[in-house]
Amino acid sequence: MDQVRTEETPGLDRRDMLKAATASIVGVASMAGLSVHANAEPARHKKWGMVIDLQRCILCRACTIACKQENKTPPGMLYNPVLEEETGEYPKPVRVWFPRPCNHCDKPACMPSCPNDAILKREDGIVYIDPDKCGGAQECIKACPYEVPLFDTGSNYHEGHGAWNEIASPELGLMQVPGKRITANQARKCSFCLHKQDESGNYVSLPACAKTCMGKAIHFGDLNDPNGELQTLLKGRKYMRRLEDKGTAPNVYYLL
Amino acid sequence: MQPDDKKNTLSRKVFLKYAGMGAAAAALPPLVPGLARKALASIKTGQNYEKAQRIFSCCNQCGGQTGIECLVEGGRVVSIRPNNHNPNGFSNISTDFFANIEKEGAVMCPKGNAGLMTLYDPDRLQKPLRRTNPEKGIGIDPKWKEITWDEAYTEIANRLKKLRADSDAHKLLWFSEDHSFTHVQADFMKLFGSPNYSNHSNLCDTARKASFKMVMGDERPLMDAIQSKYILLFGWNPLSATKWAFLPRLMTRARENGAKLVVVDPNFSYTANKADEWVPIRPSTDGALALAMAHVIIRDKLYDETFIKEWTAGFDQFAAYVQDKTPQWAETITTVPAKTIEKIAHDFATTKPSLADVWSGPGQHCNAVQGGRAIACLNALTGSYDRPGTMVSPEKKGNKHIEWSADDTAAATLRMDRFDGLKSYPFGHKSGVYCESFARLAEGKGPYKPKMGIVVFQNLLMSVPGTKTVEAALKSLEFLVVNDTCLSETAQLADIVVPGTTYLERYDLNGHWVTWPVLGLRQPVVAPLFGQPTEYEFVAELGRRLGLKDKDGVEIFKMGHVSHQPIEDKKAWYEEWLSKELLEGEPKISLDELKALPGATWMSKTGTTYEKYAKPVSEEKVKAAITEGNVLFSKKKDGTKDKQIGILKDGKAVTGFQTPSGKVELFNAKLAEKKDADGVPVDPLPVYKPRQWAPDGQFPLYLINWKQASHTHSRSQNNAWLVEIGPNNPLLMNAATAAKMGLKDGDAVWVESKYGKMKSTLKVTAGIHPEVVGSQHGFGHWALGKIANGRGSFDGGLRPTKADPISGQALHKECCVKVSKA
Repeated sequence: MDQVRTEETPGLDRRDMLKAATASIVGVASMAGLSVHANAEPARHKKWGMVIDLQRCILCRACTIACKQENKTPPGMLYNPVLEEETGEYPKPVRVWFPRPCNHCDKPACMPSCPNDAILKREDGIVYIDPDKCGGAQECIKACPYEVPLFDTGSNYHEGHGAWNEIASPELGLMQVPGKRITANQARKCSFCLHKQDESGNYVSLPACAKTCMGKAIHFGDLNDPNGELQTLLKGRKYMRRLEDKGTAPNVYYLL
Repeated sequence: MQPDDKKNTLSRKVFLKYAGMGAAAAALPPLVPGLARKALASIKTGQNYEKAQRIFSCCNQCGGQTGIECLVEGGRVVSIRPNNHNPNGFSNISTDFFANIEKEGAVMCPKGNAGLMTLYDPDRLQKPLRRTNPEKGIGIDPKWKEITWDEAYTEIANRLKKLRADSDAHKLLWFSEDHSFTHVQADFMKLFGSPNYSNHSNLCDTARKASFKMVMGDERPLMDAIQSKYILLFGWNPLSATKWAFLPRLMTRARENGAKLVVVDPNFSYTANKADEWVPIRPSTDGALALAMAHVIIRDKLYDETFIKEWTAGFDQFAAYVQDKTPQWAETITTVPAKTIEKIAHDFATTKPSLADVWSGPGQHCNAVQGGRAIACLNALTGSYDRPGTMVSPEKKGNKHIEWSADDTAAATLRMDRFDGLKSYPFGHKSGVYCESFARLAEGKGPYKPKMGIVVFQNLLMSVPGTKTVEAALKSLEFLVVNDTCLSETAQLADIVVPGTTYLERYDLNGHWVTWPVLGLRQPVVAPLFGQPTEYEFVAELGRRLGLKDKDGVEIFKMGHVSHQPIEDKKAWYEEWLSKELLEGEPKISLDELKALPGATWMSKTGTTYEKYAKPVSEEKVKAAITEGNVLFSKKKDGTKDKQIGILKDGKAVTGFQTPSGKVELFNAKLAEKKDADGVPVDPLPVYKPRQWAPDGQFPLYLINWKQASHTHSRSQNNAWLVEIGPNNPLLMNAATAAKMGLKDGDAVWVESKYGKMKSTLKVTAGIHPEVVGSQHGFGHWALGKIANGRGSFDGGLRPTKADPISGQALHKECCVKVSKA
């Protein structure tokens, strides 16, 4: 999985910077019409996705909070909650749970529902709500079978305290001033930490949930890489996606 | 790595149901995206706080001290991320850490990820406060008046000066957290002249410490889970009590590597959920289960004969004792079926390497030490000590606590007995006995009447069992000072409260609980938000105002310990203090050098070592040693006996275990010479005795409590993010029990013991023993902050203020209740 830096340690930086630098040289060269094929690897689109190993997920919800920390979401808004259910009878109870990021579907139900054409399926697979276009119609919230998009009412933590409101959200690229937040009265959701991509479209570090995951259950990477980590995991294990019958073709896979 | 099919089917079935899925199997995703390209030039990428200053440090959202990397922008902490240079967030075994950290990266728990909301909590105390209402008690308004720091210091110092002038210095009690700046507080007490410095440990795991100490001489062996093939846990939930952030990764990897996991616990914890087998047990009877396992292992000769012969003492006496401790005997005590006991005994003894570990589940009842000892003996039978995949003795080498000698004034009161009666606990811990302290204070008992208390980052009212006793105890003191970040329940009983700092605003050195010597630096990431002194500066200022000196007349709290020049600036003074501890300790580097290390983490190059007990003692050391029987001791400067360094075995000097015989002890005749705090001789064998408080007709249910990954003790419930994943603590009850009582899920209920009651919300589950109810500890605040107050239920008032008589461990789990509809 060469597209994602797993780490941000100084020890790794140089190598990864070189990697990133090579990637941009290739990019720039291609744009200039030059032919640079370092490894003669055929050009292909990336498709970012997740493979979540449920055997490794321990329901700590570090992912949920790491996401809040990264994206500075407002009160009650969890982009990546962990859903839980218990069944079974004593002494054989059965409890199952799974993290629920956005599925970044190939056929996202949210996208056609938007009257403002604010939801975009990017070339790299990421389904993105453009805050410049979202009119707060909330149709996507109704349309998504996974209950992923959430409505930002504009509320915030710690009104009057100051400090919280002066911390920038990298996701939005602006300061979160109560009442002035660009996403107030709009829909929001997980963007696979899109802001962590560099100019060449590679990730400078893993999405916050994957990075912090205590059981190392959340694998993030390029589903289009046939030899990449995600495809390798899917080849070796039983897996599933949520609500296949809805025809949304999710890009979050769960290893059972 | 492939999970077994049966388990898969089950999970899949439930998962499908939850996910609302059809049965269609997922196909491999197409390798070419099916949607047309949509250019999105407007999206700005690469905004990853790249301008931020990056500072490596250690977390302190709990006592786990996981490595962190803090991003600071414009004077604000904007993000806290895992620190890949600190193994605390990755593995407790050096080979695993070095081989895999680059590839996988370190982790952090939810609490660590919520650090910003602790730092920027609007309910944080900002200024010193003085009580104006002389009447004290829960629910009584202290009528706080803001005072200056100088006023606070002056009043506290005057009180302290008077104690010293009256030869009453020992009447000062000090209670602190156990992971932060403990040395400077302990030293203050010593130089002031009070023997009564205590800290949190005896609320946590001192019974476990005593159990292992008795059997194998180490207070805290750590499980080498990742290399184990059979992990048997008694009342430990490492997947939720994620104190050390490496635990979930180690446990899940162990499973992938083929390890069997068996969890004995009355509660179906998330660790039990991941186990091959959950063994629900009647609380406090784990010792009986372990003895029956030992019976089976010995009966069927499944023990490690070589290890028993070479490295244990007292096998014959132990074998004789467990001869009648049959699985049938244990079944009636534990409710665990005899055939289950037979099976886990066989599997545990025949799968190599295996380990058995125990923590606070069985560890907080009055029979905890001997119960834990029986569990520790299981490892002795299978040779599961200090080998890969077993219970490993960590090498704890780090900073050195510099010894200062008290001057004559201090020495006069320092030699008084401790108020908490610690010496009457035969395996008491240096952290003291909180319960005995408060019970004595409340009842006016003890060797003298303490006058003043200083409490640093401890919420005693909520963390010590027996709220009313603790309240009466704190009220009995003439003057109480609390240093904390919030106006906690305990602070509400203080005369003066001063604002403390969070871990992002101060220094500390953290000897990590991994198996090889690793030390991480905590450092100020931002200056204290309200200009308040850090806790060590607070202590130093008091030391200065009192003019405290050591025996050689050195003003310890002013003298630079590296420069040997007085230092006015207290932060700079403490930096030298830490440098001195580092330079004289194992790292032999200064504080600045530690800061410059990758991840601000020092580690020994030796890595994890095993079978340390078999290592030879150097000839040089043997020559200089004092020998008593087969046991070798190093010599102090004055020629007297110092530390145990080894034993003579087959004519050779080897390190051995730190027990009186130098071997793992299944039996120790000399223990009977020691009496516990109740005056009962300590049993030479790990004898099972039922705990004192059993259910009866009036109070028929056991009440237990536990941790979840979302919160730390009673201190995190005002964190705005953490309450979104852990909003409250319902009372769990078995479905059959609830049905019998006519109760249903969501009912408001009263939970009542003979000491008090709490109102709770019922959660009906298949995941708890039918005789047991329980909830997560730490909720039900009434003072901590706007978010915490009134959230969930507080169970501290349902128990007496009582400690286990051998170790002094607080009995958080010994309680029986009745439950009725509210």
